[in-house]
Amino acid sequence: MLLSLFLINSSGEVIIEKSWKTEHTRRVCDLFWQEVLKVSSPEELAPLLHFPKFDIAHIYTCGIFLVSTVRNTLQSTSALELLHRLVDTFVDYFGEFNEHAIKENFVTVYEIIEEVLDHGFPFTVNIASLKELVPPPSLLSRMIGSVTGSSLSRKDMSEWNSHKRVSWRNPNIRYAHNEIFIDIIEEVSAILDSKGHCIHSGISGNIVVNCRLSGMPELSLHLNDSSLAKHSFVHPCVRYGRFIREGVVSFVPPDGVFQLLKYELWKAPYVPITLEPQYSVDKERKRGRLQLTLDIRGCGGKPCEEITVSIPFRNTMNVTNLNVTRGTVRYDSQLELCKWNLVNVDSARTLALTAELSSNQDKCLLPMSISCILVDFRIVGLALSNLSVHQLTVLNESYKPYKGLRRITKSGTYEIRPY
Amino acid sequence: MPDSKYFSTTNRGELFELKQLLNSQSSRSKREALKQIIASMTIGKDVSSLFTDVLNCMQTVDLELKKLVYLYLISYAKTQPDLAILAVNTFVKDASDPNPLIRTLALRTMGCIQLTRISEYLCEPLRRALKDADPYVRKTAAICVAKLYEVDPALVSEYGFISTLKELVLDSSPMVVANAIAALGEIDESLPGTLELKPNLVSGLIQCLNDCSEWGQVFIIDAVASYMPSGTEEAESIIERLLPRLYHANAAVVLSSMKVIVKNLKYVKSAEFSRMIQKKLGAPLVTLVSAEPEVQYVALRNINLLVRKYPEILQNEFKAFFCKYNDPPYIKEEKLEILVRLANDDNAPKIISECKEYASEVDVGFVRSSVQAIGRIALKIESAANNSVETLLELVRTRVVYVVQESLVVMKDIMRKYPNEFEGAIPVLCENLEALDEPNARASLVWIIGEYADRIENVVELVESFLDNFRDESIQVQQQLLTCTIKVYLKCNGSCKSSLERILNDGMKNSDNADLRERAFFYSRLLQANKEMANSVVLARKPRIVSTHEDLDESLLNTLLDEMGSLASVFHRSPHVFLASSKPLPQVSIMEDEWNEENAQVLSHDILDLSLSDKPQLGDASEASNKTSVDELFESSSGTASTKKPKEQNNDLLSLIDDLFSPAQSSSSVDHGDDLQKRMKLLLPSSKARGLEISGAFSAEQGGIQYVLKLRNESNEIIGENAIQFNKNLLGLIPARSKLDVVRINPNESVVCKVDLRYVSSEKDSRKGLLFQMALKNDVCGVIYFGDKLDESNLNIFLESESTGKLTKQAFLQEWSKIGSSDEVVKQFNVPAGVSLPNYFIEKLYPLKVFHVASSPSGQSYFSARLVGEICVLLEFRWADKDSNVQLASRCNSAKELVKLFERLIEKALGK
Repeated sequence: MLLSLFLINSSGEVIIEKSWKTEHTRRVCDLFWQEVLKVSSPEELAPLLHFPKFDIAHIYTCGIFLVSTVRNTLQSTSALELLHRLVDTFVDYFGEFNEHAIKENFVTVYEIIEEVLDHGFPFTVNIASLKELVPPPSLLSRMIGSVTGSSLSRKDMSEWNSHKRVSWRNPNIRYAHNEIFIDIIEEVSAILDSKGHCIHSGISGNIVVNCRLSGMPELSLHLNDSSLAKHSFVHPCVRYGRFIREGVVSFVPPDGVFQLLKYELWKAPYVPITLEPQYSVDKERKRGRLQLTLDIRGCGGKPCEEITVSIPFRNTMNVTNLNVTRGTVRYDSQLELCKWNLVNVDSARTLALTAELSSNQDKCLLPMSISCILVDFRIVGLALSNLSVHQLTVLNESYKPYKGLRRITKSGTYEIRPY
Repeated sequence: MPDSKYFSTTNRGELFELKQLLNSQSSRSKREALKQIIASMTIGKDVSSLFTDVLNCMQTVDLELKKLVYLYLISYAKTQPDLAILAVNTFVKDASDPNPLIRTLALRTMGCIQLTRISEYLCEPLRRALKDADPYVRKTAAICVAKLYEVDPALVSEYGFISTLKELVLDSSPMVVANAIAALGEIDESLPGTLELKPNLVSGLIQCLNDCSEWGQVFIIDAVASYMPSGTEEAESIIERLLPRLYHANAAVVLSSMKVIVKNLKYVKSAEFSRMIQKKLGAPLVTLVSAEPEVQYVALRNINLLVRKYPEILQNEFKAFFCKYNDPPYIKEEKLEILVRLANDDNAPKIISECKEYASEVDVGFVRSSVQAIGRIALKIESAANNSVETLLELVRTRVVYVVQESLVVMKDIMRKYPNEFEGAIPVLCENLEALDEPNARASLVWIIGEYADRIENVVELVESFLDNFRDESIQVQQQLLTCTIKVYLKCNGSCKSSLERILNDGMKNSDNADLRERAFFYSRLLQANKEMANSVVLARKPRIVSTHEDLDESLLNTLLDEMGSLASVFHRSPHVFLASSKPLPQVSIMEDEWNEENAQVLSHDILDLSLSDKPQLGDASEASNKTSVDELFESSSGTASTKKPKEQNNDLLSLIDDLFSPAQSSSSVDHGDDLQKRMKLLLPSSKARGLEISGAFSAEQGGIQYVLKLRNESNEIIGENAIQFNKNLLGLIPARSKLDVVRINPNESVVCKVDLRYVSSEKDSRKGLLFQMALKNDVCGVIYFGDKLDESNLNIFLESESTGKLTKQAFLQEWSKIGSSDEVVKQFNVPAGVSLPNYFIEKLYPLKVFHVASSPSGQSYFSARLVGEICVLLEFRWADKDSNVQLASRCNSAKELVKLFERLIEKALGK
């Protein structure tokens, strides 16, 4: 389904090249690059492009274009999803994804591509099993490699066995301290109007597990709200049937960090932060005043760890007398962006920002000069949907592990219409 | 030791140093050298000269080194085929290594080196690997079959790999199942019918979805999509079992399942069930909208299709499609489009006010689309028209130039759809007259003024102000002004008379533009002739407009919905556009109706004979080619179409014969070429095929059957991407490869190409009679339908030789009674007097490939013939002594038409 794959840096240089069809060579990249030059920023280029002889699916992230030619018959979404997964895999392997990281580890990159895509068909992207096939370039393996001239991979190889009872877990894992951490992370997206009313909101939630348990534990997780079962995606290790029937998440966990459950709610029970902008303009329309009132409500009494309010201005504005009741505020005239940073704000607080605005042009057009107000925040100790873990039991193993639960609510796209 | 250092070193003796390193004893230095080589490869340097040295490193226990060598081999084996063969031994050895990882690696790499010579050695290890105990090896082997098929399909069939793949579909390991399906799916594209699903298999596949990786699920679900349910019950069961897949995290799984469900909904009879399912489709779609922007884009384009057919499923979720500030522009446009499609009486006010928000954004293109969206909602929903107009007027009052201009264009459409309802808006619109600089907006305002001339107080003043600069306006505005002035004149009892005269004069005398001039002449004569008539012509009622946006054709929409997630569905273009990389032509079943219509036309248009067979003009080959080029030169300069026709055809035939004489086809004899030339018939004249003239004939060569096509390009464009497909036919013959090996046909060039045909039992359909319906597709003409038929002249090609054509007595009897007497056709004819029967028959029929089976002294003789596609024709001759009258009874396990054809042929050969 993928016919070729290229990694191109932001100046158009091909760093990685892999082609499963002879005719899809670097020439593809030249044509692609002409399209890139047509748009003002790489993000604006539509992800699928049709050329007379081939079709391209691509994504752009961290200064790198991942470009692949694709067949029509198969899902174009799988190509795009796959490119995103590749990036995730690289991040997991190298800690970061950028031109430097790729060049630094290009052999591993090629090996991963060989393993993930055979003949252009996607295969394993389960990072745990991938790591058994392609060992990550750790400092240790490099050192041993440089001293003894042999590589660690041979040792791993002999242990490799595809007949394991569960393919995602090696039964020989041992930990001195058995621990399991469960994070419930919810991202709230919302569009609010200028009066603080919610136009549209949604939560996308994630349950991420960091499992450091020995042997082959069998876990069962009881959530306080089993209705989630209807709209969620579960990790392949979860017994799906039981989850649908009883709402109990029972599974043999992979080792390390993995995403156990992903769910989607289309309406947040409430929005934790509201912002109300108010404007006044003097008679000659020369100078204007902006006042932003920020309200934090609900949040179950938990403080907001951090809040960032960004106000991108449309025309070049002179911003003077920028004041806030708390936190720090800066106006970057280059980016035409005003940023207000707050840390550790208690719930049920009202804070304000005031600024005087004047325009270089003849008139000060308020509120038209503000295109949007964006808010980023993070509240620890709260899941907005009120999801929680009732009980987590470990069967099959005799030890009593340390169990940790953390709940975090943070912002997805959280924006306030300025008027 | 970061690997990036390999990218920077560029000294001269590099290759030599690398050579030394590769030949050193330490596997570490070898690894270093290979990394350097692969880095050079990546930045485009040629390191192929190191091939032999790299090969020497291949036999190693160091897996990392092995992987590096394999990486190198995959890239360079093609350029060094002679040396690559040296690697085979190690590959074959590795393929039976006790470690499954190494077995896999060897197999995978060998498959990637797509050289025919390597492939021969691949088959044996592949056969073993397909039955390997380790699922990881088996799944790699499954894909390897697809790789091999690409290089050498014959080897795949020789080793029966396709049937082995089909066995793997029932494998215990889900990943093997998924890969086997994927491989079969790919082979199916060039060999349709490979991936044929049976009901219980579909059920089994859906069963194993749960255990599959996400990509495996996509392969399997896509395969299920090609399955046609036997009835409403099966469709319902497939839908129900795929519903949980809609909540998968992988968008590809969701969209593929959506595709299968939507496709199967067509077969569901119960309206209630259908409604219930539709209700469940909304939620997963909304979830897709929160995916990464790229994935979201595909989802939105597909939602765009889906809501055209099922608008109800998302109408309550319209808020999910509100644009976010940081959405990329391509996402915003799509969301807006969907919002317009979702608008109904209830949600229209909310959507309109949302569009108004967008109209204050920075991106001018998006702002314009938003204004248009408001207008489109007004045109679509009557109850929203008022609200839309108010919003548009508010936007006009912002005095942002491009917003005002776009609003005016939109207002014109609304005022045309709802005449006399919004005249209150006119003063506001006219206020902005000076600001308008785009022709489209100016023309719109002029149209509005003309239309409402009798309701605007200062209309004369307004028109005059435009007319002052009449000559500086663009043509569009000038035309509109002309019409406007005459409307004012007619509506307001002759006001503006002097202006009208001036402008008509100006238009008639001074304009360079033919349209404007004609219009001016027309109006002035109309006014001179009869003012009443002018009234009824100029002020006639206009047809109502429905929408300013084009809609997709219904059948295209259905096709696209069947292909949800594919590129075609994203670009909203017919799947044919993506021919190069997709299934060549639409499924025949969809086109059944088209076939009948089009073909009736084609075939009734009598198949013209070129009638050149009587006067074969075989000249010297070199002379012929000279002639061609001279002629071409001549043509291009003179271009007299009438005289060049016959000559050209001659030349084409000559070049065709030339072709047949060429060394590549040395096996074909002179007679054969001559024969072929005679049999070539014009199937479709260029006038009916959008500039492509098609002739063709069947031919048999080297034990296979071909269809020889002659294509002549009479259009002005270069025709490329030619592909051919056959409809089901009597003999079950279809092209082995749908793509023609003609890369392109230049204008006025004709090419001859051979299409190898092969027999596929599922393509056999005796109801089609003797017709071969064909479709040719290319990037210029689209799909062209034409046909050829089986007749006396080409029947011989399809007949089997004596070894298979001659049935044993027993087989004959069996077949004879199996067909039964009901299908028997009886005919009487006379043979020349004095011949000895049955020897006369045996002698005469042998060249026709009708073979003698047995005779009885009592005046009976039996003959058999076999055709491609397991068709046999059985003949029984009966005669009485001394009588020249013979009775022929024929039985055939296929169409009656075929029997009749045989009879005619035999009568011709035996009769007097």
